[in-house]
Amino acid sequence: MNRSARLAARRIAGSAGVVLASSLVFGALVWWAPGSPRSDGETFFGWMAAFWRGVVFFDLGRSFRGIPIEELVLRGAATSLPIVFAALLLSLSLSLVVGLLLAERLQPVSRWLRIAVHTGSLLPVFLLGYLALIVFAVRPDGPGLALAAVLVLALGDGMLSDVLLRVDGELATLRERDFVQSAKLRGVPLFWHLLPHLALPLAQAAASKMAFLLGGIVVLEKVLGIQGIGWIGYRAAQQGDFLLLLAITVFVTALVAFGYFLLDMLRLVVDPRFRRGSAGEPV
Amino acid sequence: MTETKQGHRHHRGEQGPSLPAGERALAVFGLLTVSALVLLRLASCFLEAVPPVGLVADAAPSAQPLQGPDASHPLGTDQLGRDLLGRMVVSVEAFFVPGLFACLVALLLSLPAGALVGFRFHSLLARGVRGVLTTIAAWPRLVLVVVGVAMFTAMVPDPAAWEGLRLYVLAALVGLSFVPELAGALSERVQALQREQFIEACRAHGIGERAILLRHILWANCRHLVLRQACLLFGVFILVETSLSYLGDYGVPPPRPSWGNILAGMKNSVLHTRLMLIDPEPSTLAAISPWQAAIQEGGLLGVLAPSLAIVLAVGGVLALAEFLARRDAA
Repeated sequence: MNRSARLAARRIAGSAGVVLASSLVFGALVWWAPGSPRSDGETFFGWMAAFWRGVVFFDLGRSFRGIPIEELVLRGAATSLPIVFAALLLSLSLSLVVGLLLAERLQPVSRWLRIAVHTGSLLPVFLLGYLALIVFAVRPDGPGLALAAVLVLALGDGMLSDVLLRVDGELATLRERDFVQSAKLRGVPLFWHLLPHLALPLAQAAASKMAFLLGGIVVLEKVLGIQGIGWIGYRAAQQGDFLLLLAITVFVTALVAFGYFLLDMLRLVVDPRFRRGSAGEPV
Repeated sequence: MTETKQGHRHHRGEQGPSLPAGERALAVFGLLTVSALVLLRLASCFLEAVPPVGLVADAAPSAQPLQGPDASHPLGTDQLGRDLLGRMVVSVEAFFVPGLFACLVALLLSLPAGALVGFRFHSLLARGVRGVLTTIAAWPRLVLVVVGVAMFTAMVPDPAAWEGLRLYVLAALVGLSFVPELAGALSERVQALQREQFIEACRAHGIGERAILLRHILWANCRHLVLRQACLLFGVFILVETSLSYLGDYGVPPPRPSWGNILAGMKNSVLHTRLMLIDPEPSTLAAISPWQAAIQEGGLLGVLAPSLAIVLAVGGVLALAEFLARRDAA
């Protein structure tokens, strides 16, 4: 087996280990909490094994309301994930526009937009969601709801400002490199020369912001009344429906771990140093 | 300062002559905010000792809800007729000490973890710690906090009696959720520093490994980084606490005030006015603008004041963090 395949296999095992470990920790809490789902003669590990069998074969039992758990999780994910991905895409492309495109072409506009982004990102998601409700009069059944949700999630809790800071930091080091200097001397537009070098940092930002957005969506969905995975999870926590909560957290952690796995695979393809193993192990 | 390499920074004697203007603005704004928060926290002690009418508990029977500002209530009253200014001040209690507690938890856990992973990257223990950190990092912060507080409420026999402790459980969870970030940044820095020449020089002088790690790496070259991350965490804690208090189940238990639950209480007075104006009778729409209506009900101030407070507090703390980051890089 060559080195890349070995690395990929190790990453898969690592991601699976992370999801398994977090499910075990939370499962243990559920098991020993009052009102636990244990039946007579069942051990904790037997119960966990049954849970994972349920995950694999798509049969996790029913929630407190009698709806199959896997159906609830999938329905919630189908509502929430488009919002999460759209918000991720929006914040990445906005920070590219402000940090790179406008910074090259329209300096003053970029400066003002930057101040606006950093100030606007100080607003928490719940406040932005509330503002969307009153200022734009978003109706729970209206067409503007998804748009407002994406905007709020892409901006709130410091999301956009953090991505922009990363892009700026990366560009600051890039601009000192020799090839950028000589491109500038030749009068070549820098945009297309800088963009490929931002692919990996942007992917890294996307992977590390995945968990952040999946947390933000809990608040967002509560405020805007969207019945996605965050809303379902919050209600499950309120009602003490811990089996449903366990399924949702396993789904969420698996999604985050999968994001990091994709990032590593991208690195493996793009960065030859990583293939040779000289770039150091990512944590 | 011409030399910026960390090795030369290590034993520098004096600071540079003056700060650049941008950094000075960040520092002034950050320090002003922090001192304002400290003063408000102190003021809230006095308000607790001699509470104005209807500050924390239920309102006095004579109180007027949603009153505009006047002499006895400088910011007006809330939806139950309680003094808004007093509640705004007492709200600082909801995140001040718990926020510091969250920083303490994060520091206590991530200093040893970060130092270990950075200093002995390939050791067995460091591998284990890295696994634990990756597992914590896979949990979104808010999910970790909501799940943790829900489990805590389910596990204690009498949730009402433990309500005071709930905020500290929340703080500990926010601190825990910050450990991968802080420990990761720290271990990267420690690893990079180990390749510097001054560490080799220390070893050549026969200084022990522990002294190198504690004094020459952590204290001399990482304290700005740690302080900066602590500031970030404090800002994040304000956001998490106000968000959860706004949602209402896991944050500050009412009637204790938090900027989040003040906003939650006042929001309907504005929202309903606004929503009524979307489907109005044509005659009422002509008569009043939505903002006029909101101000007339006294609700707008109740929405604006906590929003502004959150933005200023978080902004100030983050400005301080940014200042420390720039000092760290200089």
